[in-house]
Amino acid sequence: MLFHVKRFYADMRGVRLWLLTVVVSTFAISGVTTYMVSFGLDGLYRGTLSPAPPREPLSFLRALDPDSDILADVESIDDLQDQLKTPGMALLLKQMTTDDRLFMVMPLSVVTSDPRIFPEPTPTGEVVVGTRPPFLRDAPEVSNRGLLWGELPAVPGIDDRSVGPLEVRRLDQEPPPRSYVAGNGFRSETGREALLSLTPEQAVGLGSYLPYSPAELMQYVTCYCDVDELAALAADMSEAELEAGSNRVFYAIGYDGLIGPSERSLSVTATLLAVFPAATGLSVVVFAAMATLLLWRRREPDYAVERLCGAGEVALQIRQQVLVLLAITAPAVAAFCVVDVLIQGSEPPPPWPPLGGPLAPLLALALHALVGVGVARRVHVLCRPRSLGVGHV
Amino acid sequence: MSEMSIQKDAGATVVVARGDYLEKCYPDGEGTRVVLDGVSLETRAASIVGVKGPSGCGKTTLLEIMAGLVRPDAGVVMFDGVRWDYGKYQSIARTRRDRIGLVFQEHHLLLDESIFDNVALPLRFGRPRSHRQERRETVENAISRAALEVHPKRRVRTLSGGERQRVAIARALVKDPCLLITDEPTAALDAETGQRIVSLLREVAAGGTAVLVATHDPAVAGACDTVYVFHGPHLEKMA
Repeated sequence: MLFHVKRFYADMRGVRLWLLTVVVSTFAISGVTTYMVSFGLDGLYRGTLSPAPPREPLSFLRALDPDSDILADVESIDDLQDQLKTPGMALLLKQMTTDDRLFMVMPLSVVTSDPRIFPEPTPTGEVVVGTRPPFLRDAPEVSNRGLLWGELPAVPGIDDRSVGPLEVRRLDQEPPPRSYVAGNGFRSETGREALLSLTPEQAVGLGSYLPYSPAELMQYVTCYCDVDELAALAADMSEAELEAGSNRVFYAIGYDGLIGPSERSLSVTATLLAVFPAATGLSVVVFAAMATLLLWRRREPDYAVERLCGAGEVALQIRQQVLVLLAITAPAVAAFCVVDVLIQGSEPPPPWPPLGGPLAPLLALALHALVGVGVARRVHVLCRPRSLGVGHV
Repeated sequence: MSEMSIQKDAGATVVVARGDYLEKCYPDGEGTRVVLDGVSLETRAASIVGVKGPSGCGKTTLLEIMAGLVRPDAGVVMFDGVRWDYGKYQSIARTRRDRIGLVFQEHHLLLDESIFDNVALPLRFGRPRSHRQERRETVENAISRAALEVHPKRRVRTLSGGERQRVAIARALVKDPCLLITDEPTAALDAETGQRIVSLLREVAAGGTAVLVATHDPAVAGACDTVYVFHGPHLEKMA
C-alpha cells in the first residue's frame, strides 16, 4: 500500500507540468461550460414554445402603436408618462378587476429597475397583475396591499412593508410553484424567484415607473379565454384610444396565431440552445479524454515496468483512477461550484438549485465514469499478455 | 521456493522450460509474416541456451513466448512441467513474477528511481512479503552479484548503458529465479563491459539457474552450453 502511495507520488511528479496544465485547463473549460450552459438552458427553458397547444382556451393581446414607434425612433420614449393610464390600458385594467381569467405577468425588473424604487442591484422575480389569476387562486386574499413571496430587500428609508409606491404584505415563504402560460405563449413556472402579486387597482400606481409603452406591455398579457372574447375587449380598447386621439390599435390572437417570423426564429434559437449545452458539455468530456490519454502516454512505460515486475492490475487501476479524480473530476466540480456561486445571484439565475443539488454528484460521477472507462481499458490492455519488444515500452 | 530448489539441486538434467512446435505470425501489410514455424527448444537448469540469428528473425518473439508475455499461434510451452501457452494471464503473470527473471535490450527500468528501488521492485509484489531488513540484504546481494560498482542510491537516469544493463540483471536475479531470460544482453556495450556481462551470466548459470539468451554476439554465443540458430522462421540446434 505504502509502495503504491509512493508510486502515485512519482506518477504526479513525473507529469507535474502536464498535470498542472490539465488541472488549470479543466477548471477553466468546466467553469466556462457551467456559465454557458446556465444561460443556454435558461434560454431553452424560457424559449421553447410547446409543440402541443395547452388544453385550456388561450388568447393574447397585441398592439400596433405608430406614435410610440416614432417616439422610440427619436429616443424620447422616456418621456412617456403613466403608461397604465392611457385609455386602452385603463380599460384593460378595469376588465381585469371583473375577469379573473385575464392577467399580466412581468419580470420584477420592469418595476425594480427604476432607481427611484431600488437603488440597489435589481432583485429577480415576477410581478403578477390580476384579480386572483387562475394559477394563484389559493393565495391569501388581501385588499389594498400586494402580496410578496420570497426574498426581496426592503428599501432603505422606506417601510419594509412597501415596494416602491406599493404597500405589500410580505409572506415569509417561498412562492408557490405554479405553471402558467405567459403573454408570449411560453409556459413558465413560479416558485424559484420572488413573486409580487398586485390587483389591477394597485398596479395603476406603477404606471409612471414602467419603462415600456402600452404596445410593449401587451406581450405580458394572457387571457384564459377564447380569442373572440378578447377580440371584443381589444376592439373597445382601440376605440377608446381613437376617441382620445391616439392611433394605437389593439387586437387579439389565439395560441396558433403566436407563430410568426419572430416566433419561428425563437424556435430555431431554442433548438440551437438545446444543442449548445450538450456540445459544451461534450467539450469537457472530449478534453478530459484527451488529457488523460496525454498523461497516460507519459506514465505508461513506468506502469509497464511495474507490471513486468509483478504489480497487480487492481493497484494500477486505482492509481490511474485517483489521478483522473485529481486531474479532471475534482477541478471540473470545483469550477462548477465556483461559477455556480458567482452566478446564483445573477439574472437569470442558473436553472438548477444552488451547487447543483443532487445533480452535481451525478454529473461528477458521469464525467468520471466517461473518462475513467478509457483509462481503465488502457491499464487493462497493459496488463494483458503483450510484447515488450524493442522500442515498445 | 521448494520447487525452485529442487530444480537447481538437480543440476543440468532438469528441463526448466521448453517450447514444442511453436508457430507465430504477424500481420504484414495485407498478408502475414511467419516469424516462427515449428520451432522447438528447451532450457535446462545450470546451463546457458543461446538463440542466434540476424536482426528481425524472431529471437525476441521466441523469448517473449517462453516468458509467457506473448502467446504462440500454435505449439506448446511448458514451464516446470506445466503448460502455460493458454490459461489465465494473471496466473502466468504470478508465475513469471516469482520464478522468471527478464532482462530486455531496452532495460525497462524506472529511470527516476534509484538503483536500489529498481532492484527491489519485484520484492514489493507477491507473497510472502519479506521483512525490510531481509529485503535490503537480498537487494544488496543481487547488486553485488551483478558487480555494480555505483552507489545504490543513484538514480538510474544518470547511469551508463552498461550500468543500466547490470541493474536490469540485478533486478532479474533478486528473486533467485529458476529461469533467466535475456535479450541481446551485450548490445550497445563495449567489448570489456560485454565480457563482464558474459561472465556474470556464467556465474548465474553456475548457481543452478537456467539461462536463455538471444544474441548475435559471438562472445555471448561462445559462452553458451547449447546454441540454436534461426534459418528463416525455423530454428536449428547447433552442436
